[in-house]
Amino acid sequence: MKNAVHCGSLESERYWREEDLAALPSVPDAKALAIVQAMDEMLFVFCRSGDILLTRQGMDKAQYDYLQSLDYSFRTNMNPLTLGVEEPGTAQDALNVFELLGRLDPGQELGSLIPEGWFLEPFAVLPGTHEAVRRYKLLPVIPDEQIVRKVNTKTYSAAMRDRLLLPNIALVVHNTEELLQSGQALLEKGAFLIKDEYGVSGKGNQLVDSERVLRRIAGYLESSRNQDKRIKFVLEPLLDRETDFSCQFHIDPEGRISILSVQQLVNHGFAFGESHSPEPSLLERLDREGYWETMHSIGRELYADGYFGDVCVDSMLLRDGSLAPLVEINARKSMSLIKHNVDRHLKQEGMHTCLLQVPLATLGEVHYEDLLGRLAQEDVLFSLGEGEGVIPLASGTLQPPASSRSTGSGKGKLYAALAYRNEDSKNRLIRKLDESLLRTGYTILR
Amino acid sequence: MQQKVIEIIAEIKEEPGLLQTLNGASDLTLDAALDSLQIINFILRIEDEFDVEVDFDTFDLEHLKSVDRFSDYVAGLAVR
Repeated sequence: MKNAVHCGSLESERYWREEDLAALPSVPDAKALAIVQAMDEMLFVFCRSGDILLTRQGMDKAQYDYLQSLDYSFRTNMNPLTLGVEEPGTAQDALNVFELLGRLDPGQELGSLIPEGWFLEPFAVLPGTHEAVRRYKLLPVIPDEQIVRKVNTKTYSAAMRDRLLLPNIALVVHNTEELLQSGQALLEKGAFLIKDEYGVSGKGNQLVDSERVLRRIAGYLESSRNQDKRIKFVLEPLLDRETDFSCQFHIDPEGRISILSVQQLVNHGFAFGESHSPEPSLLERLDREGYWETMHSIGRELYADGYFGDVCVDSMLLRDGSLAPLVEINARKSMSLIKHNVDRHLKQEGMHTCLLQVPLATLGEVHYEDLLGRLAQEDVLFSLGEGEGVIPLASGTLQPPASSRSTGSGKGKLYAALAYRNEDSKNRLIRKLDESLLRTGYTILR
Repeated sequence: MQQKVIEIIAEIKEEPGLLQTLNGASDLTLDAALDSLQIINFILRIEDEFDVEVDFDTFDLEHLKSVDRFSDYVAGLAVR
């Protein structure tokens, strides 16, 4: 099998979103975007021996050397993917990584890192992905971009529930009158969510718990910001969730479906907090309730609509004991798939793993290499010889490039996998990780 | 107003402990760690509480540098 070039923009929904769609209130946060853009380093988990990983900012040499010591054998760029002299926060930030590749001078480091005839393994198919495949003469085994856009919308997920005869609580609204009418009816029973077509956890899901907020959102949609824009939102009652989890599966170009894993999620509000392997009781429950057949059915329908590749379906167990198998379809790779691939690489009996994030702030200059050194000194940096430990998954997210219009100075995040034998050792690793971050000069924002 | 702003932050974060730890100098994104979604819900609550309307599209994140600065900004909106 040929090797692959891995790359992608994890904020895929931002690039799928059509410009003529009306948007919910949001505050532009360039720093948050810079963190997400630096998350592409984590795609190293998908690399097989000899593969190439391209990242937007370039990986820190210390991180690259550390990953090589864990038997991740890939090549990558050390310098940022940049079009030339430009200030942060300007148009280049608006381009996804494939659009950047399409505009790069072929003589640059990145161009020479892309061998002709290899596969492209994107995190998601975005505008510019097909053009990058053509330009660098890669193998064109990726689905059509417009199909990918369509199957990633909230209305597609809602319609899929009807197609599979699953309970469907979603209402689609196309104008503010419908929003107000349906919203008021929903409010009589409790709070509800307004979901943007391409909303993601932490952005694009607006909680409405009062008529005042409903009217304010409707007013915002009628304001000049949204003038002449198309209104299309999904309304759903706020589910009383007990457990969030997701199923990862793959559809190959011939339509064969392989279920890869289920990961349990601990969300902070609507944003990602931690993912870990599922409790055996959850898997037993899914067996009993025909969950896997539902996932296969979703896969077959996606394939019939022209999609193949990776899929992550968000699901929930509710407090009333019921199972909501299809909350949302994400036709792309996912954080949970990253977690699954870390598990596959570690393959250690009796060991648990989780993937977590630590929000951080830095006031001065902090060196990533120092953090790795301190973790090693504290004996908590995972190594192949040790059974337990912390595996930092990206160097660039801790202190992404500065930008002017951002929330607070020097905000970043650490994404890490933890390998541990029991809850006590997990808590010890988290404590030592926190201490190491603080001593290296990071402030933890929890 | 400062105390009410802190109360609303603690409510949005679901962390009553913030009532003791935050003060006028506290940064809303660093000390209170409001994320982008929480900022929207916070602003919507502030609008409700003080009967003002924030222009999201021109809102400057510098207003969140401290509780005092944000309180001054809201007071300015109320005067208009």
